[in-house]
Amino acid sequence: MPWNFPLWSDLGPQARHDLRDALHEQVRASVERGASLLLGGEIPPGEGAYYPPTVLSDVKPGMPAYDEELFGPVAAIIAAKDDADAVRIANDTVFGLGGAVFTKDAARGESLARQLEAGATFVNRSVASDPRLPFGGIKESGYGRELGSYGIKEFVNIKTVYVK
Amino acid sequence: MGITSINPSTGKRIKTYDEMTPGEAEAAVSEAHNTWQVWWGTAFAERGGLMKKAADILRERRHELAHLMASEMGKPLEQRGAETEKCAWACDY
Repeated sequence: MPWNFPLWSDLGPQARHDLRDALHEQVRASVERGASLLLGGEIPPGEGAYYPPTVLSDVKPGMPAYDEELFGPVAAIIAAKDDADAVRIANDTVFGLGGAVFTKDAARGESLARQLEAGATFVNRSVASDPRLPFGGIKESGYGRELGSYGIKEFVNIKTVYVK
Repeated sequence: MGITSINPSTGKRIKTYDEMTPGEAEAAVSEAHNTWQVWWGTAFAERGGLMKKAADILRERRHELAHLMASEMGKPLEQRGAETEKCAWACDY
């Protein structure tokens, strides 16, 4: 077998060694600036580009875990005072591709989702694309949409032909 | 110099690919452009048929593609099948 993790694994290595190392640096710098490391956060021994499930809490602005995107199995816990504060924190980023709200009250979830500044927002499931629905970012997460009827318009010339 | 693909779960080199020369890259872009001139005039029914065929091919080759995803990206088993199916689903749509 060309890969060395068991068939039943649900967390493989990061896609490249440099990506894993950059992720670890974001975790390390966040901890150095005061974040609490609740789980993981150590590069395991061995040849692969592995990184363990990691949880940080007490995450604040000025830490990579707050300011930047963590592209790997690292969760940043940021406490909010109330719904309005949660929305403010969620929107306090230059990114805007997708967001998700997890809550028992779906109506409250939808209300929060509508306030999130993102191209796609989900309630009670993680962000995922579906060919039937437009997908794309706002702010520094990109321009335009792919998929759905909106997506195909990015690939065609909407042409007006006027014959008098 | 070459472009090397590395297996992220072992750190070992899978394969090194030769880079295209500037001439080869330009030829590829020209060919894509010329081919597009033909597609431009092709009816949706024919294009749709080809997209469905692409979906079939993706599904037929799921095991080979799963193997590639595991060795080149370290993707775990469950997610590989889902990834192939998602691409086929997009073609169907």
